[in-house]
Amino acid sequence: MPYNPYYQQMPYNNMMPYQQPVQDRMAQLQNQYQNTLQQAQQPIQMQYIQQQPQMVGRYVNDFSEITANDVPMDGKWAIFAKNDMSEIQARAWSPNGTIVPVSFKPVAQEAKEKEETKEDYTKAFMKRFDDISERLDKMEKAISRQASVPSKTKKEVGSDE
Amino acid sequence: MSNPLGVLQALQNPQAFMQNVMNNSEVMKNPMARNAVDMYRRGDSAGLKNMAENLCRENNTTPQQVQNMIMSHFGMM
Repeated sequence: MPYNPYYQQMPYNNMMPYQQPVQDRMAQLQNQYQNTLQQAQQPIQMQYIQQQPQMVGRYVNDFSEITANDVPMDGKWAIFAKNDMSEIQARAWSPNGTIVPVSFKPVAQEAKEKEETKEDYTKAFMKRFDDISERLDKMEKAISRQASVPSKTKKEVGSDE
Repeated sequence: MSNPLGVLQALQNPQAFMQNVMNNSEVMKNPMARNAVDMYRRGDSAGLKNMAENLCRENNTTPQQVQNMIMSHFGMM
């Protein structure tokens, strides 16, 4: 092996690959420390998970299917809807130990609207009839006035003769 | 109260049992339980009896049937 004056430096050069990860590790730790510091400075935001009130109830063919166990005893209302949605009933335990039912029935919206339109048509027709009768009255008056004028003139003519 | 031991404790010391019930906020949130405790405080035994009868009627049973059930539970029948 020839003499190499830089041979002594070889170990130092070999150390470099080991030193590099240490520096990286230091930088990494520094970053972690900075991040932790920043997180600690941020106000802690408490996340409250709001529990949505759950509705108790189910669909039924008939309200006679409902048993006492279907109604919660904590005072909350249970909602029962008929399968055909012809009626909805809410039930809750009253403080004296009875179950109180409250029924909700659908309002016949279409029938109401139909009645309203019928009334509107009637009103419109009646207004038109009133207008026509008013015109007829005016015409009648005009005709009677016209009819009365010639008779007067005849009389007047007769008296002059 | 489904725990038979709880029933036994309640029968042994009703006052302590009622005190426990009154101290339990979850139970006192229940309007029916609150009403029962109020009636117990007032000594309204007729009201309590009426409530028990109502509860039995709503559960399609009678006080006699409930009594028989409890007694059979403790081997008294």
